[in-house]
Amino acid sequence: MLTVKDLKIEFFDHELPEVAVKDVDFTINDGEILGIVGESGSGKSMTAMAIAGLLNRKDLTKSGSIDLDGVDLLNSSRKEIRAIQGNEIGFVFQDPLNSMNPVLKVGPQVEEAMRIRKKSLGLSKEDMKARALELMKSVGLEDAERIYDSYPHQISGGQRQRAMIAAALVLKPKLLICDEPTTALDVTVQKKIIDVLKELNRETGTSILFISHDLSVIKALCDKVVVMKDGLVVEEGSVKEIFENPKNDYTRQLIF
Amino acid sequence: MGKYIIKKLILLIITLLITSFVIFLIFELVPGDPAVDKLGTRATPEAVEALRVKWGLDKPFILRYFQFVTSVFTLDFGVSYTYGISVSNLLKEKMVINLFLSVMSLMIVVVVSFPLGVYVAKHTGGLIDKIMIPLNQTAMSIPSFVLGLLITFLFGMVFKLFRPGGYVSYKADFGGFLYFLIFPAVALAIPKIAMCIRLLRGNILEEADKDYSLTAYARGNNTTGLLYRHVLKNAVMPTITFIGMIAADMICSGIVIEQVFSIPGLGQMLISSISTRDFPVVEAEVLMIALFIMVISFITDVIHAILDPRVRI
Repeated sequence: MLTVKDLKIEFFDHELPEVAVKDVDFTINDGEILGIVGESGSGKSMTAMAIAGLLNRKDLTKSGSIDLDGVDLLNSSRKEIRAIQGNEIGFVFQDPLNSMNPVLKVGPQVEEAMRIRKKSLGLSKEDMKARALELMKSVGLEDAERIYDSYPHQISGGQRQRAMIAAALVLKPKLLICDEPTTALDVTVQKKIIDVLKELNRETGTSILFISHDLSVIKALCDKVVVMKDGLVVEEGSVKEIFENPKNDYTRQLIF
Repeated sequence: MGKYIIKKLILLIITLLITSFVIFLIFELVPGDPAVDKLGTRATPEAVEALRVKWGLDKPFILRYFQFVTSVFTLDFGVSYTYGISVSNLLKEKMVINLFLSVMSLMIVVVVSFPLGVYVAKHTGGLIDKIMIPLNQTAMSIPSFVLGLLITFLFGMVFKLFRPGGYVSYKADFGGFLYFLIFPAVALAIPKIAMCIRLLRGNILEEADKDYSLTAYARGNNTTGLLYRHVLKNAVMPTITFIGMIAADMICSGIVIEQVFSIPGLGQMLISSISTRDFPVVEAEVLMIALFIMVISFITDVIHAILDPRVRI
């Protein structure tokens, strides 16, 4: 479904090109959960942002291809990418407090991807609210009605991240990208979020690209793993292969 | 929300009490006797004493302060030493002039700087943005009274849109009064507009760089959607606070601008009453200015609370 080929991202700092990501290749099949693991600065977030079409800064050059069911996400126009963002690709960020707008209620933020396409989807206000509440409940927000009318600072970190997952899922995307979604949360909440993602994957068949520096989380969740270091893919394979028989020294270091 | 407003109102009254005490204390400590000033150094001690009794200056400080505080609520500030008429009557017209001048000028600031600030932020690096940067610098560095002179020369003498020095009383012709005030209001507004545009532009760009803006993009927002749905509400808040502060400065700059445009406002009155030690007038004026500033900052606090749910606690 998603194929990343020869992805290379460079940014220009004081006229000198600096490579952030190079020679990255991987595929995600329908219903698969792929984990990207690596330390900070390894280019894993950069890769995720490139897939989500969020790298349109002028100081960056990108080459290679990112193919999502026939659409090249790297070389399409902004307009084409906008139609995919939030619609076919959902994105969950690391810090749920900062990634929510502090002055808007949670409900409208969960609905937003729908609201942007309100006209073409023919959705009424009630439809959107019903859909948002349904999803918020499905990701484990018991009192969805209260949270719908709360502001982000009035709910807990775990609730915020669940709401953000619901927000990323409102339009039933094919691919959900989670960029370290559990890093800012404490361990018990982490486990619950992982469970939510697992169940979501099992029930709806949504593919997930999960980025983390925490191998135990990757092990608990993913089918396949890509290990990145300094912008390069050092090893990739199924969770079983990587954890039982790591070939690369760096991977071994990470595991033990 | 209601609780927040009540809290702010109580705070406003407390501030007003403290301010009034400070104002009263300062004029108490100023050397010189208003009665001697009025009668001249050759007056007999009996005459001076009689005048002091007449003005109530023989009474103890605390008693007079108490009278002063109650006068805030009754708006009866006693009788002017110099003119012998009631201070409220003396100040009423001048207050109206300055109130209109300040409010008009603030309105010009808001109406001009918000759309321009948003436009410039949206088209950063564009032609207008490039023109605006040096223009803003210039506008910020020219003091209002110089702008006042320029406006008088340009619009008053070259284009003849108004008659320089031809102030129209609001009692005689309200429309003409407002029309005349436009010019000093613009002179007051220009430097503030420049500051507001710069502040707003900076804040919009800063907010657009935050995590929630990236989230908004990831949901398929375009730049316009991001700006109006997300960024603007967050970005205007520092500007609103700033406009509250401008209001205070408007009164002070207004005192100078009045001179340039020959408007018989509070400023001229303030200066003359300080030099003649006409304390009832000075105290009433300073208190009214303080009250105006406090009311404006109260209003900005309320707007802030409406926009930002985190403030309403």
